[in-house]
Amino acid sequence: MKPKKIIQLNQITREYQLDGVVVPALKDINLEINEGDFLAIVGPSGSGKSTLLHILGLLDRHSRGDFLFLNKNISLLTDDQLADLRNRAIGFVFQQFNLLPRTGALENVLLPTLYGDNNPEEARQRAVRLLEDLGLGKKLNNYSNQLSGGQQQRVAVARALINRPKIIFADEPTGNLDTQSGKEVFSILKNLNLEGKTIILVTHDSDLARQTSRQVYLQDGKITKIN
Amino acid sequence: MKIKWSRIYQSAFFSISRNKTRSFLTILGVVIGVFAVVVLTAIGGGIRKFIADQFDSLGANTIYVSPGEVLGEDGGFSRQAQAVSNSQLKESDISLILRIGVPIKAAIPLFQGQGKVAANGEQKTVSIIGTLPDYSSVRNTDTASGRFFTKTDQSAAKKVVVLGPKVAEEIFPDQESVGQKVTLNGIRFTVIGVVEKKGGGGFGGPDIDSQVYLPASTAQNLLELENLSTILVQVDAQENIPQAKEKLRNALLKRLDEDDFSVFDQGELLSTIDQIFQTVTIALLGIAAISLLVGGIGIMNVMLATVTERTREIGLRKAVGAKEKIILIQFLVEASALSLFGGVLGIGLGLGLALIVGNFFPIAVNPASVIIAFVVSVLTGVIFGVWPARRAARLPPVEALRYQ
Repeated sequence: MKPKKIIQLNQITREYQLDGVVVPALKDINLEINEGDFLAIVGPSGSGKSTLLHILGLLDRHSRGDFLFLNKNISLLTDDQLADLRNRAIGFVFQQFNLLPRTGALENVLLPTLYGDNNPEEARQRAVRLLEDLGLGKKLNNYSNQLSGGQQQRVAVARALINRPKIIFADEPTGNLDTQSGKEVFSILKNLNLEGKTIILVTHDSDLARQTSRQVYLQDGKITKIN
Repeated sequence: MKIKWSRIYQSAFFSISRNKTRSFLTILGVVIGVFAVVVLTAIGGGIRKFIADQFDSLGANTIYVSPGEVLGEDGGFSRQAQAVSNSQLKESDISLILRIGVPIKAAIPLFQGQGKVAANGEQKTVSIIGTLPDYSSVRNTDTASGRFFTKTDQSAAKKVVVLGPKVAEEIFPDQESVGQKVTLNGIRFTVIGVVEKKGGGGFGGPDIDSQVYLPASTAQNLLELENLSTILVQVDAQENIPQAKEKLRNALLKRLDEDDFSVFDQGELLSTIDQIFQTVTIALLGIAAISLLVGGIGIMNVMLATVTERTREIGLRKAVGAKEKIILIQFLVEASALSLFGGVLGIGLGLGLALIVGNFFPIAVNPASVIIAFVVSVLTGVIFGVWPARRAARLPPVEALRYQ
C-alpha cells in the first residue's frame, strides 16, 4: 500500500522585507511528507530550517508556491482556519519548552483544549493519562519552575499530544537538555512515531538526524539533499 | 467554537493576582476617580437636600415680595443688599395686597437688618426681623418659652425681643433667658420669649435659629428703616401660587416700577439653588472624568507592558490554536477586570466615607451616581484595554514565539 501524502510543498519560497530589501529565507522548496514519516530537517543556523518548520507548522505563510496540508490549499485558508487546523492536526514541541509560568503541569497540558471543542472532563482524564504515561503522574500540579528541564519537555510533549494531532513538530527539542534527558525525550518521539504519528524534527545535530527515517538537508534556504 | 468564558475569567483573575502590587497601583487612578464621584455627589446631594428642607420648613405657601430684582434674568441672585436699602415698598402696600383677596390669606411686613445682641458679657451677631404678631402663625414659629409679641407691643413700639434658640443658648447658656435684659445695637431690650428650634443654618440655607424678632414699629426705629425689607404673602394653597404672583405683580405695578420689586416663591429660589448645584456637579464630574482618564491611561500602560511581557505566551497560545478574537477577549477581560476592581474598591471606600461623614454632615448617596461610576469604571477598562488587546491579538505567532 502506498503511504498517504499529508504534506506537499511545490516551489515554496519565503521572502522577508528588511528595510525595504527583499531577503529570501527559503527558495524553491519541493518536499513531500507522508503519514508515518519521521523526518529530520537538518542544517546550520541561518539555513532556513526554522522558517521551513514554521511554514510546515502553519505558524507562518509562504510567499510563493503551492502548499497542500492534509489536501487543503493553505493559501486559501484564513488565519482563523489555520488556527483551527493547528489546534486539531498539529502538536508543537519547542526548544524553550514554552510552558506557562506559575501554571501547573496539568493545566499546561490542557491549554490547547481551551481553543477547540472538547469535553472538559474527558480532556482532563486524557491529560492525566498522558502525563502518567510520560512518568509525571506525581507532578500534575507542579509549576514549571518546580520541574527539571527533561520533565518540562515531557509536559510539553503531553501538551502537543492532547488534541490527538496527526503531526508533531519538534524544534530542537533536545537543545536545552542534558544528554540523558535529551536521549529520553528523543526516544519518546521515536516511540510516538512507531505508534504511527508523523514527526518532523528540526535539528542541527546530525547524529540525532541519522536516527530518523528521513532527512532533509538545508543550506542557504535551499534543499541540498533529501533522503 | 464556543468561548470558554469561565476559563477566560479565571485566567484574567490569575494574571491580576500574580502581580498584586502592580495591579493595585494600576487601579489606583480608577479607585480615586470613582471614590471622588461617590463622595462628592453624596455630599453635594446632602447639602442640596438640606437647603431644600430648610426652605420647606419656611412654608410652601409663601410668596416673597422684595425690593429690586432679587433673581436676575440669568437666574442667579443679584445685588440684593443695595436693593434693600433703596426699598420702595411701603406699609400701605400691605393693604394694597390684602385688597386682592382670594387666594391671598395674609400679608406681613418684614423690616430686616443685622445687629449685635449682648448681655452677660456675651455678644452675638444676629439677623433682626421686625414684624407683626401674625408672623408667628404664618411662619409656624411658636415660642418654646415665654411669648411672641402682641399688638400692644407693636402699637407701643415696646423694646421687647423674641430670641432664636441659638441666640438664647449662646447668650444665656445656663439660665432662663425670658425676662432677662439684653442690649441690641446698644439699646436695652427685654427678652419676652424664645422660639422653637428649627434646625439648620450653614451651606447657604437660612439660619433661622439665629434670628431675633422685634415688633415691626420697634425694629423700624432701631434699624432706622423707612420702607419695608420684604413682604411675606401667605396663599391659601400651593397650586394657587402662580395665580397669586400674577395678581400681586399687577397690584404693585399700579404704584411701583417693574424694577422696584420682585415677586418670587421658594420654588424659584430652589430652582436657582439647583442651578448652582448643577454647575458644581458638572465641575465635579469633570474632575472625576479627568481622574478616570488618567486611571485609564494607567491601565493601558500596564496592559501594554503585560502584552510585551507575555509575548511568548501569546505566541504559544496562538500556536496551539487560539484565534485573534480569543486573545483580544482575554486581554480585554483582563483590562476591564482591573478597572472593575478599581471601581468596586472606589465605590466601597466612597460609601464607607459617606457613611462616616453622614454622622455629622448632611449626606445623600445617589444610587444613580454609584451605578454610573461603576459602569464608567468598567467602560474605562474596556476602552483603554482595546489598544493593548489588539496589539496582543495581532502578534504574528512566529514573531511572538521568537521573542526573547
